[in-house]
Amino acid sequence: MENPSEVNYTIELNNVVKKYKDFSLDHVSFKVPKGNIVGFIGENGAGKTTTIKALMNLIFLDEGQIRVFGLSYKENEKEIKEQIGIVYDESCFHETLQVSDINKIMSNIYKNWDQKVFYSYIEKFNLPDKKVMKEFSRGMKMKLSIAVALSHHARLLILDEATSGLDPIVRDEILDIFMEFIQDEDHTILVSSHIISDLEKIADYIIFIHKGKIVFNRSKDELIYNFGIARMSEAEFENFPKENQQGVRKNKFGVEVLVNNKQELMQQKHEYVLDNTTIEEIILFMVKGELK
Amino acid sequence: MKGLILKDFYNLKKYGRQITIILGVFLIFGIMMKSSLYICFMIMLYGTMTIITAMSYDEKAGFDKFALSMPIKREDLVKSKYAVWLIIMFSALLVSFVTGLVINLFVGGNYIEMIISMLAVESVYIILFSIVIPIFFKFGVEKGRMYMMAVFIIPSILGAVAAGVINKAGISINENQINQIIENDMYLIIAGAVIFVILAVYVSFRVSVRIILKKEF
Repeated sequence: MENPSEVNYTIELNNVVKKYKDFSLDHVSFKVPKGNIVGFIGENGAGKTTTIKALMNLIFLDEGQIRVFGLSYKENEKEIKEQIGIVYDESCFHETLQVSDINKIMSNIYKNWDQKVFYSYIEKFNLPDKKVMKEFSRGMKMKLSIAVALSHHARLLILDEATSGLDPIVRDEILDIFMEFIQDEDHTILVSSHIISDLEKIADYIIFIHKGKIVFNRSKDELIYNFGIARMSEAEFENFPKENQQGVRKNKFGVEVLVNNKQELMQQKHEYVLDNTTIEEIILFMVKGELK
Repeated sequence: MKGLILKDFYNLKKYGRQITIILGVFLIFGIMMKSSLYICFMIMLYGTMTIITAMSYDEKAGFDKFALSMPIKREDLVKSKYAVWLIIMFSALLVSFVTGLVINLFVGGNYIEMIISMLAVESVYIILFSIVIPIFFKFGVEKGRMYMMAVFIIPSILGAVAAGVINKAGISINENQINQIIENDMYLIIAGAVIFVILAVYVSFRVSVRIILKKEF
């Protein structure tokens, strides 16, 4: 068995295939390097939740392998899950429970449950100790789930659409917590979301999934540095080199081309307009434009 | 696993209070009707049925998916539910014994007969729920309820049909004869029943584990 501290990748998915009647994960492979925040992006129904379920061993694979902390689920399920903090899009706590009940339940589930840390988050998030879950707002429930995920000394935090549906102030508070968590270089975060602007703020890497396939897995800085949008007329487009086009959008004013060699093009003499772009625009281009 | 059991008991706290009030009303009925068995059977039924409430709370919260994302084995998810079921059921049986004895102190009655009736009814409850619980694990509580009705109703219909057939065929059942058999082989029948009940719970548990091992969340 590999020594976990020597493993460079917290998560490794290798050719994961899961077939459903109307949807499949199609040979999904990616690696999440230790010590990073990775944004997992895709529209609703693209396969984010299915991938996370596969990652948590909640569904059975048709093909492929998954390793977490360099370990496989077959022999090390408990050991792996002790070290993962998970937050789903819906709170999974029963309506009748109070914070103190959850503390007692979790202390009997996680070996490393840390009551002190838990209550420090409860205080930090201003969560009421005596109210039952039924009276909690969605934001409060989500904060509680995050408090639970962070209170057993997890090394990997997985969030499945956890910040969707929250107001911007709460989302910002939560993003701050993630930044705090990632200060330890042994920690890793995988955040799935369709709110790309959140991920743009914090992610080191962006993995983009579309129709069950991974479109790209790249560093955010590299994406922003190298990708750009060239705006030109139809005539200019005819002569524009094809090899670095990632997407094309035509409208009545002309043609917009998503390119992955912005820096190179900037060095060349050109008539067209070359703009910087955002992750959100890159994704929209790839999904809505003619995907290359 | 202790965490899962605790979770069920915390969840059922409020439900327990409601049931206690309902059973209080039944107790008054029981005393008015001068019958201890009625209230005893009700306590036992609620005790056996509470597991469905616990499972429906989990389903509503989407807890199973979350539980299996924690260091909890699939088998322990099932084990904890059977543990909660048996703990509440036997506690309810104990409460109904005590209730029955106290009522009998006031209204009089045959203690032995009462205890045997209670054990017989409890055995039927356990066997029926041994069938029902794996169904709930397989289909969830909402769909499971329909199948549960079938499990409860089909034996009654079959019984009624069998009685009809026996009557039509002109076979007369001699009650005395049956009582004689029961009296002569009482210990054997009790031992057989106990073994059958234990076996039913064990098989039910194994089936539920198999279902959960194959289930996707």
